[in-house]
Amino acid sequence: MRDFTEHALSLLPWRLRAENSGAISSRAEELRLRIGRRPTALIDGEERAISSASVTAEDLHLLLEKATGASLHTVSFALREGYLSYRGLRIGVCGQAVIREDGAAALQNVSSVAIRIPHELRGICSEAMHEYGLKGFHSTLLISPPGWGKTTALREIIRRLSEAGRRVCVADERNELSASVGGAAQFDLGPCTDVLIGIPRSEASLILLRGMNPEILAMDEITKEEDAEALLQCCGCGVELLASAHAEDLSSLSRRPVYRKLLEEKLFTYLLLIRRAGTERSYTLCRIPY
Amino acid sequence: MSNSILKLLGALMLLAAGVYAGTVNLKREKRELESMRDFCAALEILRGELATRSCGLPELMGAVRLKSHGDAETFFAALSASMYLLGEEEFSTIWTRAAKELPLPVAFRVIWDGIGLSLGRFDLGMQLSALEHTAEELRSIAEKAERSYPDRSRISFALPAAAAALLAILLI
Repeated sequence: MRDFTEHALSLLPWRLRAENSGAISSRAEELRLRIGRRPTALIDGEERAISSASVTAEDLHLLLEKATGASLHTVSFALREGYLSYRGLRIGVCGQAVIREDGAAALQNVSSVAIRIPHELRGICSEAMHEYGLKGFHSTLLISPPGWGKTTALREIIRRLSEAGRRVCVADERNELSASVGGAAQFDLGPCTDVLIGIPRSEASLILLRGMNPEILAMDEITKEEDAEALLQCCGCGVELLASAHAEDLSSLSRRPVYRKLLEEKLFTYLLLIRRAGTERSYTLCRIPY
Repeated sequence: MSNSILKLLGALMLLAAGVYAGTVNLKREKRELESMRDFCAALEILRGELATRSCGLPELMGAVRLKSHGDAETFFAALSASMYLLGEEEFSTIWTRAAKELPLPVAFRVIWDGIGLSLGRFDLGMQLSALEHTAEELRSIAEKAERSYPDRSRISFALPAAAAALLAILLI
């Protein structure tokens, strides 16, 4: 696995990273750059400045040129969703969007950028994995507020299930789960895992179902009606589902229409709740009380 | 050596210099013409590749380099080799620098440099229409230069040669 912190720092223009980049901890979860402010790293839930120089509009322009290979047309689909992927890093972009009649979007006057740094934490969710070992794997939804480690946990569960011989297919729209470069995954997702990258989750899940004969279908962050619809179509096909969603608990989940339908249809058997206290995270697997 | 022989030698040298300057001018004009042809052809390739592949610029520049000729090939080779500088330098700066040493007329160069400011910055449709518009402008400059080449080449050669001949006559 690559050092993604180093990777994220290499996206910064030299004048911003030359001074202090060595001091950035491998625990850094994000790098944040806002015009007129000093660049920061999110470490243990706290933003810490990493350079005395302030970020300029040109810095952000250079960063985006590097991340896209100076080719915004190759990422316009993702930019419409407010992010772009660069070798396993998710780069959130804020600024002024211009949406044309045909739906094409261009981002002008970029004002801030957040680079999410992925991590591989082996051995987490052990209790959940133990429970799966006892009762068998059943469709599971991982929930937590943003930035609490859903993707990291999802990646670990996929790897463990795959190592246990389960055929896992991953709809990795943003290339975050596998962080593939040139077809080679930079994160170990196990020996029995197939990954489809760059296609919207709703389409990818059906493609995987048709073409790859999965036992378990995994996807990160269900956010849209289309994602939920695709999952509903998959559930009747004898495939177990593994997905994640932004929510604090079951009640907040059921308040949102996109998830309410999934719960009504009893699509998931388990919820994996991720809790965070300081730098520590805990993972609790519980059966959804239908 | 008598004074008249020295004058004759000087006159011959002036004539030779004039002819040489004229020949150099001719070659420059011809090279500019060929360069413009190469760049116009390369721009068509660029447009076609961008429309069919929709790929990123680093890959695109490499593909165009393989299919272009002469100075345009030199340009795209220099550009491809400098793409690693992205992140420290703007693409438009890299683009302009790659064309800096190449023999292009000023009007042609100004428009060519402008391509670097639009490539990769907009969606595909906008880029393709910008390239189409630019290609037309460049073609028109190249065609104009081609039409006026016989006259210009005569002037380019005759002017320094005639000036040298005049000086030689004055000297003698």
